[in-house]
Amino acid sequence: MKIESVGIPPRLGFHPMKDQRRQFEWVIMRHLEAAYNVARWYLRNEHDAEDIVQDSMLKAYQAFPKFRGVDGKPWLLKIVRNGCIRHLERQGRFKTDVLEEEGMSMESVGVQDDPEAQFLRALSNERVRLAIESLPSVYREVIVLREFEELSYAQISEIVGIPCGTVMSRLSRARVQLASALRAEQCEETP
Amino acid sequence: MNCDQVKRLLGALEDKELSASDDMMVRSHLTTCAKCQSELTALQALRETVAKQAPYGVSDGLRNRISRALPMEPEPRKRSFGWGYGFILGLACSAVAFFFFGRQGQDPSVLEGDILASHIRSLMPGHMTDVVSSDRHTVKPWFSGKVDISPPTWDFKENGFKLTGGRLDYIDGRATPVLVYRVRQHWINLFVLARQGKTPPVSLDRQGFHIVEWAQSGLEFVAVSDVDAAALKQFVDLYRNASGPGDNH
Repeated sequence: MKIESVGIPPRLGFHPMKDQRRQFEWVIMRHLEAAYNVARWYLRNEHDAEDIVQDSMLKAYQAFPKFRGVDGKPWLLKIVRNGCIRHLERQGRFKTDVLEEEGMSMESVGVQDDPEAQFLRALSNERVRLAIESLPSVYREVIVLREFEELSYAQISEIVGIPCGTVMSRLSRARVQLASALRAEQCEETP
Repeated sequence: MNCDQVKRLLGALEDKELSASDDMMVRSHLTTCAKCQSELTALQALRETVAKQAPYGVSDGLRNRISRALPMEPEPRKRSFGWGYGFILGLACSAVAFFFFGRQGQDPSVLEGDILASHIRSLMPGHMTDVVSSDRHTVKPWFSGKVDISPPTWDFKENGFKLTGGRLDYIDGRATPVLVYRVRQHWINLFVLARQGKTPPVSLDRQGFHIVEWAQSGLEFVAVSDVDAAALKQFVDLYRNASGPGDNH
């Protein structure tokens, strides 16, 4: 007897289309919240995020028969990211050339009682949100994927398409830049 | 390890991404270096503050749109007498046919899902046509060089089916030409597939869309639309009866 389903995930029941839909909901659709959150941070606009997420879900559904992984989240987020980047590039809003400055540190002066930490903890959510939105796209994406979606460096590396070492250094710079953006806001607001 | 090396690794320490040996070296440095320790505290504070951001929530509208757009929404089974038995009988027949004739090429249901998803996506703003023209002499050559099949292209404006353009879609992993027609307020997508299909037209209904599939001159055609079934059948008849291959002009 010929085995025809080599490499195809096991299908339950006998109606392939219905089962694909059920499996898709189980493996992929459960990450809709993450997909939308990530898209919203990329695009900074509710309407565009909804369009891209809907489009990405349909693309994911079409590509789903080829999905061989276990965790659908990075797989889906990669599709969402591609959609977002294409959208931003069309508008000329995605810049990959960031100033990769070295040697900056989280705090401006080494002080014993950590006023930096106290200051950071006391910030309002709105100010933090604006500071994250103001980051260059390549920094913002690693912050969002790591801090909000709690993905590992390996998963981020897969989604963004950069080596793990680059994830580490980029995330490190992103955090430094975020901290300095928050400090800059403080300078502006407190005379 | 000096302070610069440690500073570079603090993020990875926080993210629990350091190798065991690096982890140990960074931690031992931290016990002796107040400056790096304070840097770590600032990093932790930053992460705590960032983590307080509430995620952006998915609207019900988006959730419903996606659910509707995906093929074969699982619904509670309708127990309408005649239909239910007809459906089960139909499924049984196709299962038997499937069993005896085997799977030639790709799974037809997956293909059908692809086509339906593609049709639905095309209805979203800006997705309908890549080449916009009512002139079949413009639409047909547009495909050459992009795909290895040349779709017979006809305009049936006088019958109410206006050719409005063409599009390339990926169906079943292959670039597939799609001809786009407009009838009244409805769109008809005609997918032209390079494979042998069913010869007489076969009609299907999926999620309120009508699908007609047939084979003609060595190609398989699939017409999808939300126009009424009678109009779609009229379109299919017109297309099948259009004489010649459509490119002799």
